[in-house]
Amino acid sequence: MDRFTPSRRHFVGLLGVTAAAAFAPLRATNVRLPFDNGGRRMVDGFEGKGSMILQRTRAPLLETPFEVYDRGLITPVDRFYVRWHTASAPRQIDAAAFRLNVHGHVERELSLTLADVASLPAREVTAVSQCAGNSRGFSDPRVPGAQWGNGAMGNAVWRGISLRQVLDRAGLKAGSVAIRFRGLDAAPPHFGKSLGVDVARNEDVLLATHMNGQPLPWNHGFPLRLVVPGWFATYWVKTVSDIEVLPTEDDNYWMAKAYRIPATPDGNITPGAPAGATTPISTMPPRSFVTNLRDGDRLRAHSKQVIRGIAFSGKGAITRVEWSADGRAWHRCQVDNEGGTYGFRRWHAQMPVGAAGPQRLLVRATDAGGNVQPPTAGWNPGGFMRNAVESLNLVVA
Amino acid sequence: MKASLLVFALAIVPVAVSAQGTEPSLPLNGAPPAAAVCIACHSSEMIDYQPRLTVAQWRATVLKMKAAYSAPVDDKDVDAIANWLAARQTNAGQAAAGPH
Repeated sequence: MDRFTPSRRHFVGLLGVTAAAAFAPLRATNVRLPFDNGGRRMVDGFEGKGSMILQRTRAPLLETPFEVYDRGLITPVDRFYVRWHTASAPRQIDAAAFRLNVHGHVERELSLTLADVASLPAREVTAVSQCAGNSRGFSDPRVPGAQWGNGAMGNAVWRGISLRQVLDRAGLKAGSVAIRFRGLDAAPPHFGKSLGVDVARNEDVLLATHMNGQPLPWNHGFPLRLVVPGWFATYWVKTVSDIEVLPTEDDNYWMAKAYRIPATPDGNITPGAPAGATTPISTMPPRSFVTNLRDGDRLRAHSKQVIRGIAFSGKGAITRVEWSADGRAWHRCQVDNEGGTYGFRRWHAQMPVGAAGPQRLLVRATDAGGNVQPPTAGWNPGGFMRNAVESLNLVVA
Repeated sequence: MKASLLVFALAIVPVAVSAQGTEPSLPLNGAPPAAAVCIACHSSEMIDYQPRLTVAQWRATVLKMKAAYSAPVDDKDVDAIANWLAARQTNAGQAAAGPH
């Protein structure tokens, strides 16, 4: 294998659930997501997190309460959503014994320690992680799966090394097609996701060690997590320990059977229609949300209301955010520059409030690829990739 | 290999419950004995938070757990488990499914 000279010390201790985290009494309140059977518990202190919507205790599915997105561009680690497929990832990982193995269709197999990884030049990317099934609970008709509201997304500053550095040291053989990533959550079917070589070699694809300046907590993939800016989080493999270069397309369950969408232009079909050909889900279409108002909020008649929120897209930087009261006349919002290509972007506007009565508020985003949020939601059997224009029903009084 | 992993999964259930102290139980009254396997690998919210599903959808879910996730469900028990899961939702008064 390659030899690296560690340029700085990288100390990571054993990671475990502390007694305080495991046994502290949980404060729980009842909340309701706005779809049928949407009653959930909001718990504080579970898995070392702040207040989170408990979608599933084991393996953890924790949803970020929506008000968190109004508080800042970056989602705090302790409010960041959590999604595991199985409860098989070890809760204690010996950092000294951990190895990242690179093998398959390569010139040189590698077995890297965390010190080896830390010796490589670091890179930081701010990017949105969004579950492919975020907002699945709004699917109409409903589909089985984790019944998320809109809180299976978050924006963090990820720090690590470019995956490309590791691939270059291993040396991809001619005819390499896909790179498969596997982690330590090994219950069958062993989780693994693949990227095409061109995507994997983008320097912004990271093997991350840190999130918002903190070492990755267990729930977010300690000690290494793949970060694929712009792509749905199913590709952001946690506890990555195995990278295999394939000379063919990956036919493992998680690529060939799961996380697939209809091979139609927008990934949707008519509900109940034959599924037809499918393709692996990939990049995130644009979304935007109002964060400072909620459905049913009351506004003062004949006033000006500040509206603000977030927008993001995995298919190109956000270029435009607009609001509308009727879905026909659209008004430009001011979009902040802070946030970069892959992160949340904040936007705001002043909305004139008319006479007493109901008032709607819609918001839509456009990205540099010309992708615009559709006015109505499409549907697919997995409940994936929802990105329709969001609307609020407000009350002017 | 498959058997040993499942034994491991079953063995950690009580640990997970006692360590976190928050995992709800799955009432098994009226359940076929084979239904106990439903919470071997995940806690019961995964069942209770689903939208109203048809028996056919529950059957497809049980078969997916068996085929893809190696849940030790005998073919002869699949229908009984699916019927019980659907009946729980009916008994809980969950809203009926849409047109599809």
